[in-house]
Amino acid sequence: MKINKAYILISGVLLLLGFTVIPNLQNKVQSAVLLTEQSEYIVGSPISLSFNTEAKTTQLIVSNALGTSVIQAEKTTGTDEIQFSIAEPFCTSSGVLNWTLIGKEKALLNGKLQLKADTTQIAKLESYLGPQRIAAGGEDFAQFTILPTDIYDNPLPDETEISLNTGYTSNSNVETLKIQEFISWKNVYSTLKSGRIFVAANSDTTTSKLQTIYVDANLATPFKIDFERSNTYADADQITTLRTDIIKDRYNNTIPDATLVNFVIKTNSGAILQTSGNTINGIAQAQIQHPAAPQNWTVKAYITGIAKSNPITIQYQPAINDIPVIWDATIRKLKIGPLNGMLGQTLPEGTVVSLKIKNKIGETETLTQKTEAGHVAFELKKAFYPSGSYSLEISVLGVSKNLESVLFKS
Amino acid sequence: MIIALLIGVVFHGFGIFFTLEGTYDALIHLFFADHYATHWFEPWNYSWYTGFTVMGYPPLVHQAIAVLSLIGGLKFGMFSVAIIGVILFITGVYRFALLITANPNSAGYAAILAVFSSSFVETLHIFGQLPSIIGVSILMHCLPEIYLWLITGRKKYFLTSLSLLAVTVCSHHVTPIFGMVFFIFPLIGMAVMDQARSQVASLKAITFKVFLTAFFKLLKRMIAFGFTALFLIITCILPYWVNTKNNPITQVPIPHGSRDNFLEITSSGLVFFLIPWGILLLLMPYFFYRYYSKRYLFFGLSLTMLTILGTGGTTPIPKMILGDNAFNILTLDRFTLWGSIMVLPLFGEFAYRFAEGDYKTFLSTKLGGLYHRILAGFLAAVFLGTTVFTITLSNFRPSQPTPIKMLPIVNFLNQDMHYKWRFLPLGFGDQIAWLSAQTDAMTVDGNYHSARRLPELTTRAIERLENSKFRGVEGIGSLQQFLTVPKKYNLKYVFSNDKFYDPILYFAGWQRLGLLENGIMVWEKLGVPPMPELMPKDDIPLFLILMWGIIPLLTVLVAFVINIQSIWLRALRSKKPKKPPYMQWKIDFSASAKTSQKRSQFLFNIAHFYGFIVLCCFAMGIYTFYLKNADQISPKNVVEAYFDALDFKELERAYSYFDPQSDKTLDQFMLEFAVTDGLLNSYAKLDAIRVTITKETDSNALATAKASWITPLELINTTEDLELVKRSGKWYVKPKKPELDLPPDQLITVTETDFYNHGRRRITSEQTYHEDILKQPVLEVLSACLIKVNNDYVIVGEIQNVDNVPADVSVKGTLYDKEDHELATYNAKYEMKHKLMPKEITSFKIEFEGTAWINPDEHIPLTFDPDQFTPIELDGKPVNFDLHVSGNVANTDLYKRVAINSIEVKDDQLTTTLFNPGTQQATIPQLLLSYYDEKHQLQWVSHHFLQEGVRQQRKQQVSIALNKEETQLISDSMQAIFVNGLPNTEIARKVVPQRDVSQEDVVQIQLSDGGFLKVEINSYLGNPR
Repeated sequence: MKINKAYILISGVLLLLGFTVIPNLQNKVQSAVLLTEQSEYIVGSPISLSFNTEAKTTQLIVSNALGTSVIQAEKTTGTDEIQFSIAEPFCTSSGVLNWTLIGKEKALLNGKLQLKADTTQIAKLESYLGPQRIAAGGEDFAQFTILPTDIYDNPLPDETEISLNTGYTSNSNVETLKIQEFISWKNVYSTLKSGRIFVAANSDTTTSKLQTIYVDANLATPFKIDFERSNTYADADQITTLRTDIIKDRYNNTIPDATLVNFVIKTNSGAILQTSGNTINGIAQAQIQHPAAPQNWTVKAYITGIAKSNPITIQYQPAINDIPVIWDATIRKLKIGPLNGMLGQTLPEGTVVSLKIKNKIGETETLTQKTEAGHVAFELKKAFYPSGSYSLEISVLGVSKNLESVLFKS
Repeated sequence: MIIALLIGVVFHGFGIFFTLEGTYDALIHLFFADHYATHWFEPWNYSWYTGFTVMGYPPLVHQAIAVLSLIGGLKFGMFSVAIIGVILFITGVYRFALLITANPNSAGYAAILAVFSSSFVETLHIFGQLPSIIGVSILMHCLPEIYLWLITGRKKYFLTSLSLLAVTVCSHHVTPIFGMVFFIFPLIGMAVMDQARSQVASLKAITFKVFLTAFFKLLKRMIAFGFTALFLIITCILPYWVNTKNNPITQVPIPHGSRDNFLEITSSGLVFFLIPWGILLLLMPYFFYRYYSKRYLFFGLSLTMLTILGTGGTTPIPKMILGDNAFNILTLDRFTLWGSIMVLPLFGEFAYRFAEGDYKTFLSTKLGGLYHRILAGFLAAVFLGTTVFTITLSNFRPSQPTPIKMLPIVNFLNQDMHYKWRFLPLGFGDQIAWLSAQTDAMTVDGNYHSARRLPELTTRAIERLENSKFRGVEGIGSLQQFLTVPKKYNLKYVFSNDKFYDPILYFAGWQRLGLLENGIMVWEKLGVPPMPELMPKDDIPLFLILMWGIIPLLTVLVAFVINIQSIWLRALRSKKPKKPPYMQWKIDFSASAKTSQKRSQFLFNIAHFYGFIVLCCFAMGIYTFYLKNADQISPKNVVEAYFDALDFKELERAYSYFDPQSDKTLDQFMLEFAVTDGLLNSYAKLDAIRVTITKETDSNALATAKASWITPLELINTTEDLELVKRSGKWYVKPKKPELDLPPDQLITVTETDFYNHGRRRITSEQTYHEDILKQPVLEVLSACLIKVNNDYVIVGEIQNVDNVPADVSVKGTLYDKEDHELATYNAKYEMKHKLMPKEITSFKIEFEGTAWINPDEHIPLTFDPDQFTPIELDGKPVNFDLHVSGNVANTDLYKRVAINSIEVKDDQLTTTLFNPGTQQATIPQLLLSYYDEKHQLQWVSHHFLQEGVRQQRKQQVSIALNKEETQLISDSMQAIFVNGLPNTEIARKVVPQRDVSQEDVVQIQLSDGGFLKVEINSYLGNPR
């Protein structure tokens, strides 16, 4: 039985081998010849390739930069000639089109076609611009880039000409650009004056979008400031307005709106105050309240790091002459008022009155209150201030009055 | 039974239309249902968190809603399922009661009472836990079948019981697991007891031995049932278990009211103990007496356990029983729910005996018919009273913000491709689920906290970001992290329904986009990239997905076929059906029954005594509540009440505490209050107050109130002295004088430059045209350095907007070690002006914040501190840094008018007066303090928020302690700084080539140590005009 099995096995193997060998013997080498001679086309024109081959079933593989496809042969009767017509999108994309003729899963022939964009039919001028804002003066520039394409969205070949229109106020300028590496570009330099430069590209058949370059003023140059106030008193109430003149760049352009100008105020006591304003038509305004004590201010304005102004000084005079005071020893009450301003008017509501109390050992304490109809009263209670002699200093808006050895009774 | 059904459907059917949408959970289930309605077989949901799997919750109810929603919309589905739930519950109680009491009358009463049972009403109308209700209802339907299987051993009952159990499993996973323990085990015990009873003459004759023999007789059936049940629990929702194993719940437990000590936190006690038990509390002795009779012994034990577990954190026992872990994950109110359901049959039995049974006879003969009627009226009143109170509870104490019209938000998200970014709703309550169900847009937040994945969320005990203000530092801390680095999450839009969050948004660099027509404020962050087209998700095996989508509804189908079929068969059979075996254990409680008078008397004495004690406790509670809250009986109370009234902006109440003899009128007070605005007045919530009475006589007192206020930005402590007077037995507060300061001008004129950005000029859904995309403003980093402060690494620097348009600026810093490995990345948060006018300068500081409490051993502070900062833990030592600054054209929040009108530095104390000459009210002014060394090199940046706003043409004085830190310079290399992706060095060379650096120093004030200080102001406008 063992021998039987071996026989069956061997004969089986032989049978298999036999079947695999025989078809190879039947195979013939097939050939094909390209009949079409044209190898360059303009996109959109019909393309058809003809071959002469004895192969029964043939296909054409076409591939370009965008993809690959298989085309079936168009039936021709009787002859060995076959024809393939290449349809969209392969006939409408410019560039190299590779083709391979296949017969029975074998490549018979291959080749390539050149498809060229239709330069007479520029359908679209895609345009880009950046940056949109540049500084005046002729150094800064914006790049205008054009991507011209034909009706099939193919880029155009080098040296194709495009005309570029540039407009500034009522002047306009036309020049010709040539396409290089599918695009065409131009650096548009800024003008000396601020304003808008309009740029557009044209061809015979179409135009691009209008692009706008905003030419802003260049960096600010030193400027002058001034101030305005309703009175000269240090009343901690009225407002002083600080103002620049029209700030310009070195080409005499007004600097852009909303530029922040920082007004820095140095007081004669060494403090540094700040207020700021944004420019409108080159002028910045800022406001600050009058100080609560007579002071001399030196003001300078800055567009920090870029430009500064001349210094100006502002003087504030005392807002009151005298501080009437009544000390009622029996109820330990210090009545202050009426506090009148320079016109004899009652001081504004809420003016701060401070009272500095100094005892014999030299310990001090400061109390503050706000005026109501020009009056203020301090009640100095026994619990806090034991009987004895104190010196009091009352100050209102930087004006002060001293009362020495005031006796606090028990 | 039929009556109960009708009443139930009518009562709850009406009720749910008003309550269900306002419940805690219902909208979450609706959101899940929406998910299934649109993607039935998709286990991954991108809408919440950064994507999560819906296999974290049994799907049956959601899928049922989803199927029904195909007929009439999501809400129709939800209401239908809710009504089905009500029907199932009532019928379930009837069958369960019939099983327990073996008396159709008692069971009928039980069913009627179940309709109004306060625990059921609470679960449905306040919590909205549909799956839980359906789960427990089906479980009750299942119980008689299990009993029948055990007693008769017929395969039919085996099948019916298991089919029903499978439905339970698919609708709620916790119910069958604990239901096994608390319902099925006692039931088995009862079955065994009945088996034993049938072998001996009387109940008394059942000895332990008899019981044991009966037990072994039924053991086979028990085991068969037990293992099959276990198998069902595992396989029916296998994907859920797989998911739980793969994504174990590692998050910090979220506090839940049911775990509180009910005596300390009375509101939790009310919601999780008093309301669910309701009138049942009065009848507790009866239930325990009945359930501890021999037949129900095991139910008695189970009821005891449920009652104890339901008490939450009041006693340490539940924690001991469950263990720490389970205690912190489970919500314990469900035990109370089951407990109250378990006693329903006996409640029905009691009602039957009381209304028409032997108790009526007993009471009428013993104490007279009138007493019986009064008692009945009292019980009925209390019972219905609790129910009505419960169903309307959400009106008295709203648990949710008022319903928000979602349509404007949905439209906003659909417009202009806003759905391409994530959004974050704030102050929406559980309605965020309803919003998510209506839109495809995604949020970083979510409402199913077990599914959270981001460490920023899971390490903190916050349910949602949306309500983070209620979660103190953890909530605000988490929220801040999301708002500071929104690019990481593609978070661009915030819908704010609560102005509390507005200051955080502003100071973190967000801007207002405008009010929607439903009153929701939309905030936007500029320069956030949209979400990628492809997003990651967990891969789940196909068979689990199929199981998840098919099994749940299949179980319903199978259960339906099997059970309905048996009912049909029964009905078709012409002969009268045989009574099921449990009906033979009926006890006669009818009016003519001969029950022991003595025992009844004894029981009633106990019941009266117990009832008396319960009522006393209740009265005591109310009285102490009154004492604590009587406002004017002591000086301390009146101060506290006054602050409380101010806190809640109840101005008329606050005014009522003012001395009636003072000359301040209500109008004057209202006006004074109305004109003050600021962090403290408009955005603060009173956290704690300590009142000390410094002086007290019979009629006068001086009090000092030290209050701490929570604001979105920081904790504010205030100290205020108040004068108090007593007039005719009541204490009053003496009102204070108003601010006297008068602005100089009546009408203010200011000229200002305004900006508006069209976005896209052509109305098209195509991509924005190239020429409509604004150029990013050019910024220049003037200085930047990496410094080390007390082991933390910080980047400080200065930026100028060197362009001609206003810029919105965000600064991202990254730290690198020696080998240039990235260590940490963070954005500048509060310490910078995010909006810069052309040529404006801001200082900035980047602190590298870590995720708080990522280590389990770190303790979460008990008190709130929004200012708390968790430094990041770095893997290496930073030696270098880079900065990415990005600018976008800004056109809002450009108010820069506030001026420094006086300034003085004395002994490291800065006193300055801010003056606002403009036309806008600076609600929250912020001072940015930059410290420099002698060579004008920037050393440190800090900030300070003013408590009060600065109104137009008014000033505000503030005195703050300087807080300069000792810093150590690590690197001041400015090589790796990029602005809008371009190198900063190039920009510096090109834009302002001849920069006068000395001009930066002129605003600096010399300090005593030789260094310098610069003060900048950044103001948040609460109501820009």
